[in-house]
This record gives sequence, C-alpha cells and structure tokens, in this order.
Amino acid sequence: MRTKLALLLTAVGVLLATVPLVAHHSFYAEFDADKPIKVTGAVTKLEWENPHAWFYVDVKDESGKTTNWGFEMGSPNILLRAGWARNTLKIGDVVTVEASRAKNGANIANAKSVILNRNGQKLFTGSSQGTTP
Amino acid sequence: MKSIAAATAVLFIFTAPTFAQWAKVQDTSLPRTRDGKPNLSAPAPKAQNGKPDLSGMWTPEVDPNALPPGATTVESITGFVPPRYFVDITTGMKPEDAAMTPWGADLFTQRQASRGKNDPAAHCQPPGVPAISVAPLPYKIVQTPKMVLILYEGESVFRQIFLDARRPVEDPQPRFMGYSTGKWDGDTLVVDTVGLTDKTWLDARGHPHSDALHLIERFRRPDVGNLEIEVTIDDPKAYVKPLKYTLKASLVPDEDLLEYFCAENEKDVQHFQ
Repeated sequence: MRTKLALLLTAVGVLLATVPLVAHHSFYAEFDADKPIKVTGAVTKLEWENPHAWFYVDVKDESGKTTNWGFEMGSPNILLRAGWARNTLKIGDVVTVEASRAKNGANIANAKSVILNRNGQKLFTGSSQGTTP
Repeated sequence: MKSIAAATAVLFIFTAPTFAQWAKVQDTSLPRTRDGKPNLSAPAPKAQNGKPDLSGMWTPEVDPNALPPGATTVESITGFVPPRYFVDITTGMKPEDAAMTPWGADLFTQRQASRGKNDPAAHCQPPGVPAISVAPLPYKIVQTPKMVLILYEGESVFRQIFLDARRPVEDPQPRFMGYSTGKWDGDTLVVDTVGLTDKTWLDARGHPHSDALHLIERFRRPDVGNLEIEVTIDDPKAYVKPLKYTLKASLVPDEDLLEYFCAENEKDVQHFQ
C-alpha cells in the first residue's frame, strides 16, 4: 500500500507572476480567505462525490463542547489523479486542518491543508482557493 | 500587465493512476521507448487518410503563473492549480488586443462584481466551448474519417465536429456545445463553431460572448504527446477585434475518463453571498 501521496513538480524556468492570482471564481462568493481556521479532530463523515469532496470533523473546544465542521476539497476526479484513494481518509482518522471559513458563518470551510496526524502526511486537497499567500 | 514570456516546462508527474478504475490497459497504438513508456516526442500518428490523428485523452496545461512563488517541492502544492486560460483568456494579451465593446465591458464589469456566483458553471451547467477545453478535467478525442468526437469529462458532455462538408446550420437553437464543422488545412484541423448559447462565460473572470460568436479552433498535434488549439474569438458584439490565444494540452496515455456530474452533490450555491 502506498504510504506517500506526492504530486511531483519539475519546474524549468518558472517566472514569478507580476500580477496577483485570481482564485477559482466562486470561491470568493462562498469563502473568506481572511477568515482562517485551524482545527484538529476526528473524521466523522466523508462525501466522495462531485463537484467537491467533503469531509467532516468533530472538534472539541476548551470547554469540552464538540462542534462538527465540514471541509470542502477539490473534485474526487482531481484528488484521485493526485494520488488519493477513496479510503485515504477514514472515519476516525485524526486530522489537522487549515481552512478558510464560509462568509455566512456556517461551520464549513474550504480546506487549504490537511495533515493526517497518525503519520504526519500532508494531503493534497485540491483547494480552489488561490495560491497567493 | 506585463506579458510573461515564460518558456515554462512544468511537468506534473502523478505518482499513482486512478487504480480504483479499470486496471491499466496499454494503448498498443502508441510508440513506446525501450522501457515500455509511451514515446511522447515521436511523430504524431496518422489517420487512414494520411492526416494527423488527434485521438487520445488530453489534459490542459497548467497555468505557470498560478504556481506558488518559488514552488519547487511537492509538499508546497496542496491546492488546485488551474489550467492556463481557465481564469482569464486575456492572460498575456496586450490591452488593445483584448479590448471589449461597451456592451461587452459592461457585462464583464457586472460579472466581476458578482464574485462568480452568477456563472452558470457554478450552477452545474456545462462551461460551453471553448471554456470546457481548459476546465481542470481531461477530454478524449475520437477521430473518424467523417467526424471528430470529443468526450469531455467535465459534466460528461460530448461534442461532434462534422468533417463531411455539410452546410452550416441556419438559425440554430443555441447550444452549450454549439454546432461544429471542420476541414483539414495541411496538418491542421480547422474547426468552425456557431450557435453557442450566450449564457456561458469564456473564463472564470466572466469574459463575455454574444450568441453571434463565430469560434474558430485550429487543432494541431505536433507530436505524440502534445496537442495545440489556436482559438479565435470572432465576436464583434463583444470584442473590438478577434481575440486569439493558444491552448496546449498533454497526452494522458493508458488512462480513461471518469464521470463528473456536478448535480451529484452540489452544496456551494446555498452558501453564496
């Protein structure tokens, strides 16, 4: 079984952009890149369907209260080609997620980074957020 | 905006095929090197009529300007890198070559202000031609003597390009994929398309087109591994002069299309603001 998800990049003469990058269009209608969130918790559900794969995580706050957060990734078609399998993330896996929150305050966010805590592996999320910092 | 003349050869090597689908089936029509890999720089295969055979599964080149600055390691790229021209078809054009008419500019401004939420593609409608050629999902060209069929993974739509010298359709019912005819000009397949619905955006920013758009695509396959489509947007209602840009795509050998139905689990629209 593969233990490594890798997207190899060989860049020859990549020039830095002189104009700011515009993200995938409807990202800005739904999520706010200036509202970051970082949480750790166990996966409770996975939706491996188009147009976007989603996974849900139970997050406990300091008072012990649990909130279930939903995180959006790219299309499963794109994730599969980047090395994912349908069972790469399993119910119960503990993950650390960095994401951009929804504008409307719902407990959902667009996942920029997902780390599988049991082995420290960083997963390709196919996030539609622009790649400018 | 400076034009960025990047002689960029960006190669994404996917370490794993979609192994949950068909087991790997080798395309026996592709020339191979000694280690069994497809020889992507071999001359393009020829069809029975001696013309280049465009058949194959193709994936659009990524936008070299969309990579994170200084990205050289795998781990730095966990997000989606859009294909070139997916976000903006006027990338690299001089402003005077991309000038819109007042009608076009007005519509473009409205769409930009909407943050993409009114893009029909954000509501699970097909992106239309030529935007679908730079969707981040591959397409399969099937070339026959009288028709070229293109199967697009995005929204699982098809397109027929008729090579039988039929007369252009009159008063067409607008379609997302239009009505296409093609003919060979040497080793280039010149495709004319009309009857495109004006609902679709030409890119994610919202560049407009009218229903009078006359789309010309010149398809070339310089070698086994490469496809080029020189696009001309001839639409005087929207653009002062025709827009020209060239799409490049790479062969995806020994793979097959997946399905993509946006309506399967669309959850974003309800959150749009």
